[in-house]
Amino acid sequence: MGQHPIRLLIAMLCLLGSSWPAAADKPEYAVEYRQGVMSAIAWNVGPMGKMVKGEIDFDTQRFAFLADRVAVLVPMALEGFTPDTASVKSHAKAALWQHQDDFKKRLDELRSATTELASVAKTGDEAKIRVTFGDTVKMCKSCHDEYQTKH
Amino acid sequence: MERHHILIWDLPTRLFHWSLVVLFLLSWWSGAQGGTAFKIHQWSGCAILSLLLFRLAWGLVGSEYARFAQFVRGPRRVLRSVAELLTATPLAQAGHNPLGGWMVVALLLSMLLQAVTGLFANDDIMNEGPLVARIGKDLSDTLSGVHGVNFAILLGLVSVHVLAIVYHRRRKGEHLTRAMITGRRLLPAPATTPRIASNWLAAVLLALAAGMVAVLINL
Repeated sequence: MGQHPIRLLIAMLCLLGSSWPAAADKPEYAVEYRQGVMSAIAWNVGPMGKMVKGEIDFDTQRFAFLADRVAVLVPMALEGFTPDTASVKSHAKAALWQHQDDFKKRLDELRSATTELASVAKTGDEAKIRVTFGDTVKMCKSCHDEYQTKH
Repeated sequence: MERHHILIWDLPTRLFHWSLVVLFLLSWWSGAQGGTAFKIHQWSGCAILSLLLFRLAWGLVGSEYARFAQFVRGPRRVLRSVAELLTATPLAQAGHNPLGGWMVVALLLSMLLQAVTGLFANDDIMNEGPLVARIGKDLSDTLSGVHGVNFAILLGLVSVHVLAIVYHRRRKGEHLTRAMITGRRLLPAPATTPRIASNWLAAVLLALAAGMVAVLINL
């Protein structure tokens, strides 16, 4: 009834589009995604580590900015650890899939710790930033030791 | 038979041994800490590497009982020594016994592998060895894996080494720890006194070794 053929075509295309299988369903993509987020975390932790180690000048504002970013990235990484990725070859140890609650708890704690780190950084107290940062990266390491393999 | 306290472990060998013990524990602790304790780990690893290079040189030109040629024996000699080790009587050897000699070699090689892989290792967080940039991330990851696995091996070797010392004390009445402190063991007087190399030579070799490590990490 007076429907323009173009409209019909668009409607059909939309229908087709919505029924197209979502690419993100493949577990390999979830692994790539979380590895990308982990790289993003490392990218942001890097300069903080350099400041704490005295390799670059301390800039508490930038430090707070980086810590805030990490706080956003940590729960994003968790999203990529879906159970269907357990069979994909990655650096995740089998233990991770056996202790998913513990893994999730650790990442939640890390998120709180990085939020706390950002607020400490905003105070500008370098000595306190160093201590808080040291405690925070220990959480990274203990979780890597538990759940990440290098080979 | 008349027995004398004979100097078998020279001062450099003893200092090497006990420094290595302290640095091994320090590396273990700082490695487990990670994060900001990494500086200690790196420093300690470089010190260990220097000591190991020194010890390799000392095994060639050092005092009699520090030389590899004196204590690295063939398989038949080792097998024969095992029977002797199981008895309750003290051993005839003044220095390393044939089986113990191979433990020294195993410990040195494992320590060396640990120190060298450490130069190329990364922790995926904020720390990496001084030579990581030269080899790329993938190889660095592999070597970090070796660093982890070899640490377990090293820990096993050290445990066996310590247990063997306890065994010698309990079963054979040999005070090997004391010997590694004083350098002397109570032994039947040998025909010739063991030849002791110069401490100055050791100091020069250690300085050379440390210099080599300093150059290596700044490549």
